[in-house]
Amino acid sequence: MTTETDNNIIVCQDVKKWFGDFQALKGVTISIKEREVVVVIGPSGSGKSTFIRCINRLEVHQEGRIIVDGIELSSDVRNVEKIRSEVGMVFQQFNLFPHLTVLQNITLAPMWVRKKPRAEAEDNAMKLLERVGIPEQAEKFPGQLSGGQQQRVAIARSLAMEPKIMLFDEPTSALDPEMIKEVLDVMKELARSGMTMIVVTHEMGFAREVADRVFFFDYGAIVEEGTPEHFFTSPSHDRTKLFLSQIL
Amino acid sequence: MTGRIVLPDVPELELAPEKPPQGIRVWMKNNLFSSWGSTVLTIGGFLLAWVLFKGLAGFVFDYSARRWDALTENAKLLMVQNYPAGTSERIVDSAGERINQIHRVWISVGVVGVLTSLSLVFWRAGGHIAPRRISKALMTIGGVILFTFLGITIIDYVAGVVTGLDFGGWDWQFSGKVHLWTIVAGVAFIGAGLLANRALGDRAKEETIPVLGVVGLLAATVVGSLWIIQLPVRDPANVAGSGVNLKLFEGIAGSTALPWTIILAVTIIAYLVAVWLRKVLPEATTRRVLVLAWLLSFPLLVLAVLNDPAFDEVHAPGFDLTEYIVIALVFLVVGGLIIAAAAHPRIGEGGAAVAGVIGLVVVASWAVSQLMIVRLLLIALLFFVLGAKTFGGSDAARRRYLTAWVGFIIVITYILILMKGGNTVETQTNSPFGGFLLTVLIFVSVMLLSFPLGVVLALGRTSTMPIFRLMSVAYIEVIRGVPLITWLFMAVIFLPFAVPPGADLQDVTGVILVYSAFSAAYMAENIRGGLQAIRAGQKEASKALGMTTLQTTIFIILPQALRTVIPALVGQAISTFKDTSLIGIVGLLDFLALAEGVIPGSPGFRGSVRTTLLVAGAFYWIFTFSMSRASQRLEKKLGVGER
Repeated sequence: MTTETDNNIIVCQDVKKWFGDFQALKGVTISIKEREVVVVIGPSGSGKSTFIRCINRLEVHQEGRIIVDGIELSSDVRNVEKIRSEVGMVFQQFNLFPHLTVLQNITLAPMWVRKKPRAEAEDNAMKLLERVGIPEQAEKFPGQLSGGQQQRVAIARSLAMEPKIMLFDEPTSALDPEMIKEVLDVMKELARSGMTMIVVTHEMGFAREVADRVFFFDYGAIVEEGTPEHFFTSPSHDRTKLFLSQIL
Repeated sequence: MTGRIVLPDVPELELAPEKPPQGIRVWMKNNLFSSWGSTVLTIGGFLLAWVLFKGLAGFVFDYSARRWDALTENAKLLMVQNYPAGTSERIVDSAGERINQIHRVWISVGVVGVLTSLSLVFWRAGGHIAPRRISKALMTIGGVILFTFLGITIIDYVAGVVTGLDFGGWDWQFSGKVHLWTIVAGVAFIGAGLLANRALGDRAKEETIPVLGVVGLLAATVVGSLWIIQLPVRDPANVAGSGVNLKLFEGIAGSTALPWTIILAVTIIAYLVAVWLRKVLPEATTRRVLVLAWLLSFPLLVLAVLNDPAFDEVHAPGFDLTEYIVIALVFLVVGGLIIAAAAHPRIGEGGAAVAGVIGLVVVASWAVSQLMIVRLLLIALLFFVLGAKTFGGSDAARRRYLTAWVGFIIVITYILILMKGGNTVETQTNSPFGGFLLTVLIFVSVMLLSFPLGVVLALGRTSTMPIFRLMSVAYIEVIRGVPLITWLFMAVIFLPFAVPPGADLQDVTGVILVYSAFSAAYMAENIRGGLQAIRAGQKEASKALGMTTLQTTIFIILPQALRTVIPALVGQAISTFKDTSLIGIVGLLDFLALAEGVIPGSPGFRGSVRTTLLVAGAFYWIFTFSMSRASQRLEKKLGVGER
């Protein structure tokens, strides 16, 4: 395989996925380097969420190959769990565990998956909460926090597993406008620290400022890819132009 | 705030009178007689209540029909039936008389009381209610007394005058001076309520009175009444006179006054001590200890009630308890070492090899002649080794996992002791005891056994593994498709054939097992509702963090699902409690069987069935109503329905 070079942390080759008769992914081929920040945009239903959910196998692709950090995603459960513990994911709906405190939300997986002692896990969790700016909320339950705070806790929860890759599935779409900035700021700080990130978003400002590359999805395939400058100033594809004209 | 709009001064509005005019007449006009329809409904409702009440419970006012003595004389029978009579030589005194063992039951009740007290304090249960609610309750009680008494009398009288028929009424109502006292009591209740309300004024609405204080006072009143209350009962020796004698709670019921007083006192003292302890002890740890104490208390109390504390009297044929305990100890140590090794993070894939070897041993143990307990313990060990990778890891996690193994072995050993320890309780019927004690034993056992089984079945039914799912569905549908009574008959008729020869399966054990299996199917369906209410995102988030399916289920799915279904589970607990009364049909003498069959059937108490049934019904109601109220508070506290 020619695309499997050493610094490509994610390699997807001709990934195809069907939901019943509907083909959600029609052969996606992408290679992503370590420390790269990739933004995926596209209209709803274009398959961009399905694509990043395939990367940690929340969805199972039926054809093609996905290789994450040198491990090929297959039906082998051990591979899947290993990859999931190295790929963090942040969801549109936060998906915090409502019956656990913020601190417990963050320490649960490090304690049971990474087998860290409680004290170490809690120490680390407090550091992460400081990093996302809400250490004072540690003992509260998710229901007591605002949407922006919840999403920042969700980011801290993923970071607690010390992932090599972070996936963001429309992280700001469920937020009130005044809370979007606080989440984007955390994501920008994360990008600058050198995290490999794939971000599905409609925040064009974020894409322009942070992304190394932008992918445009439509009908389950990549229509256009390029640097943000190329993408926002001189898109080559008509479909891309139409989409950008509608949302900018 | 810069963009704030400043409103110009608004002239003060003239407010409407604070309250609409009040008073009993206005209230009645608005609520009872607001229209022709509601007037008809009100009067019709009262008449219906009269007919029903007089027909069903009116006899309690008739000294020749009611039989309190059937209850007071048989209080012990109702509660524990033949419990304390022992058969073992150990509990026979020098004169050859059997030593009374009932203190074991009393001590058990006391332990439960103390644990309840401590839990109430450490979970900060209770809260406050407004005096207004208490005064309303007082007035309601007074109203009910007067309605059932005066109301019925007047209605009877009026109905008699109007129709020319004899409804009894006046005659049987006022046949003793006690009846006058009843009227006085009714008026006193209403008066106390009204006075309290008026004296407190607006303060009556503030929530200032501790609920637990009220409960304690009620309990003290009930216990106090055991010492002093007098009941008019028919006196066979006094037929010539009025036929009525006032009697203290003599005999059995009266003799419980002292133990109940001690238990109440200990419970209250425990409460006060706990209030002080709460300031000294770390709350979270103490709560954990209390949960453990509750979990341990049931098996220990069962052991204390059922078995002699000395276990050397093993009399089951072909059964050597010492041998079994040695086996358990070997498994405890050797199994513990294997599990500790398998749970070590460095063992990696070696754990699978260990599990494979144990799996082979399990198969071999079934191929060769072997004690059943060894086979079962081997299977358990296999499961523990399989789970070691998931739950092991850091030192703390491994310690927890090993504790679980030790706990498991202790439980197994306990069950063996319970099954085979010397039974000091006489077995006159097919059950060591009966009465309310049996009702409680069956209820608690069934809830404890059916809950874990129900959880497993619910997980099975929602599982993606076809065999597991199919088996769960089949189990649930077969169990639910057959009436409980049929299962209970099977418990006493089929089950004895299913146990190994030599084992002595009592009817009670069979009924508990089968009833638990039955209850588990319904419990599974309730819990399934909770599992389905959890959003898919929860599972995805947990998986995305790298947690295994088992970890996701235990840490994420089940805690949320069970919280959602608390109302349904309490509902099921209540119906389980009520349905324990069905066991009478297979010959076990539970509370209802005694109240309905045994007591009215015995020579001295013929004709007492109406009284005993009415009181039995009231007794069940008090327990079920308390359960449903407690669950409402629990729901509020856990915030069920909120996210």
